[in-house]
Amino acid sequence: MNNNSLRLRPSVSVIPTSDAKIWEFFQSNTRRMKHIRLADAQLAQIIFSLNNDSISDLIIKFPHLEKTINTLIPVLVEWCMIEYVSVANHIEASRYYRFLNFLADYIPSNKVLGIFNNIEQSTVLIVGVGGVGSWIATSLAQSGVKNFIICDPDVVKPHNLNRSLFKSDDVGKLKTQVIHRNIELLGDNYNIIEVNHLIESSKHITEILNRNPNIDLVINSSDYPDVDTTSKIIFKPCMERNIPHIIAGGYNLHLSLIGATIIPNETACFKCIEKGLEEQQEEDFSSIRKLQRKKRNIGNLSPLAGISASFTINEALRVLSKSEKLKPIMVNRRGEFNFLTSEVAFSDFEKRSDCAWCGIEQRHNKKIQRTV
Amino acid sequence: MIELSFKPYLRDGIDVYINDKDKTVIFVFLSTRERIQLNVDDYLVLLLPEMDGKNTIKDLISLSSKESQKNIISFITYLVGKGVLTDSDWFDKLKFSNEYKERLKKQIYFLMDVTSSAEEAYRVQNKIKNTSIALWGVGAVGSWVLIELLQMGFERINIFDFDKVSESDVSRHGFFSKEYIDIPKVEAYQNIGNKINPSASITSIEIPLNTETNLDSYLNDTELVINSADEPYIGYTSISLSRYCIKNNKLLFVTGGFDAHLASLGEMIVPFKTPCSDCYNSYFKESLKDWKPVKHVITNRDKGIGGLISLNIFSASTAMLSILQYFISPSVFLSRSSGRGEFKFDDYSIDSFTVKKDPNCEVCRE
Repeated sequence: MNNNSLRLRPSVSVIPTSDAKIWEFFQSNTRRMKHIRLADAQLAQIIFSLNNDSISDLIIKFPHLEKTINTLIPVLVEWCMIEYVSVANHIEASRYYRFLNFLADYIPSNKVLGIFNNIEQSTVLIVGVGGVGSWIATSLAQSGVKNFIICDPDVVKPHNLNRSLFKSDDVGKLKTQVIHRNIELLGDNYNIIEVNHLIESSKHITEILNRNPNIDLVINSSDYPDVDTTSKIIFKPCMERNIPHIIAGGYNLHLSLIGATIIPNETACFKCIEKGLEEQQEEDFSSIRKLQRKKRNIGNLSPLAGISASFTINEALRVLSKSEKLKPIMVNRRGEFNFLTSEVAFSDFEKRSDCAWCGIEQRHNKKIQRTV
Repeated sequence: MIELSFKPYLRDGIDVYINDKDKTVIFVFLSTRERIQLNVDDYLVLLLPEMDGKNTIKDLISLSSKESQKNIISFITYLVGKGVLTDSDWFDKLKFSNEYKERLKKQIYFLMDVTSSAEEAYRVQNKIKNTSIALWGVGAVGSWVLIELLQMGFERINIFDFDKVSESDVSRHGFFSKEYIDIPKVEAYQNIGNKINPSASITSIEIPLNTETNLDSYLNDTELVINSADEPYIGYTSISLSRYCIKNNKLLFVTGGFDAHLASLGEMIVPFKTPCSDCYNSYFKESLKDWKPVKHVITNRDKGIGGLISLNIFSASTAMLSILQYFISPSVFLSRSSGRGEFKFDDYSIDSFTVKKDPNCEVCRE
């Protein structure tokens, strides 16, 4: 065995099809498949029994197939069907081997450790570690993320226990303190900064971003006073600094919302979506006024918090991977998970040229102003 | 007939939109997005903000002309029936301890929102509180199921597992802590469960599920069995639990989350009403009869299998939603088609397909 030895990935199954020359390669972690034509029966056997041979070993054994082996093997690595044994050994020795094997369905074996390193080394700012944020923060740490800035001014109250990841004896403690401790208990080395003042203006976010210039992702899971306000506060400093941000769902009034992921200047921004929503609303509710009501007690539910958090964790890991092969899915869209039917519905938005923040017209105007 | 002393309260979980042009009022139920649209006269619209639980129907009538009395009463009666209006102190009247109410109030508001009646919200929460659960497997999905059960107010739970917590469980288990490594999972999760809700009664039983397991001695008092045990493999554990549950008329939920079904929504098995695990088995035997993988070159593939914590949470959460939907209305739940859904990480869609009861099933044929 040498560093270039390869093997068929343990989670990949190969299934014959009705055409004897075409084989289904099934990635069981992600239920994706590719049909691959292996015209030569001997070649097919070589792939199915690939376990610890390098390309050069194979060529020595099967010189007449040299050309095919040279083309096919790199393609199967690229398609994540076979892997380097040295990388596989590295993965098996890691406490994160499950996640690494999952990543390896998307990221070719020669790059997967580098991509995991991107995730580990990244820094995430999470605003709000309550109903949804508590799940997001700990789960990202459980997937390898090491650096966190967690903001929340609140202490744990008994009525948080019905959906946040806190325990009874946490009541009365600062939420950030509890999440900090829970992450430390995972047993890796973390760098966690707690911020306990209420984020009331963009200035507060700017201050945090200035103090921590390496933030890769900002997640808004705070809904006080409401998520529109907190999102407005958060998006501007993120746009100015080109930092991806996710508006997590699951908050009051939008229990099953699957929030958007925003990559500044690439995708629809918060303002583009807001404008899109306004247009949709105009169709629905033109000339209609809303009855104003104060102090409402709105319900929530643990599994809906879990589902909402689950989508945000998926998105966060995609963004943090910084890989072309794991691009975020919730760009230019929002989703709703239907509580009654367990179905997901998405609505699409676009990056708008007339957006007050990131639109071309807007940027053009700014440029003209500058020239003048 | 509604009493004149009734104090109607416009429920918190409902948005009200008023169109002054064509005299319509739209009530939007926030949790379900359902809508009720009504054409109403101006004086009724003006009364809506006054339905804040402080005014009696008599007070409301006094704000309007005498002739409108009948209309006001029928308007209010209609809205009470639809769950838009309720009794102002419905929550205080619920017969739960103050501590339980304080902890669960947000969920009870949620139940009120989806069932639109205080009696129904109480019935469902009370069922949750009293249902005795057996949870097989507290691992990648089971640990999250346990956490959500306790968060939702279930208080009678027996947990079964024979495995120990290992270091790599960090990337999948809820409330993982390095302090639990090498400790039996049932012990770790009994401890965690007691800390989440000290009033819950959680029993831990450290046994595997195999042919020797005497299920009756463990499940006799159980009403709902949740299977998230995939050792030796989920097909086996589900078949034995399903056969027992059908015979003894108990509910069974088989969660997703195992290999190749990392984010499946799982299936509720209601004896004689839905397909049982044997029906699912014969369905898959038939539909996958030509799907025969080549023997894999690597014999021990355990450490080569993937997992993702968000998908574990997803599977556990959809399982809990199904159980709650069933508790809210078995008939509505059963009117939907049975089968399986698989969440796809690639595009976040849910692939679902219908599985019907096998008419020749030896286990659940009536």
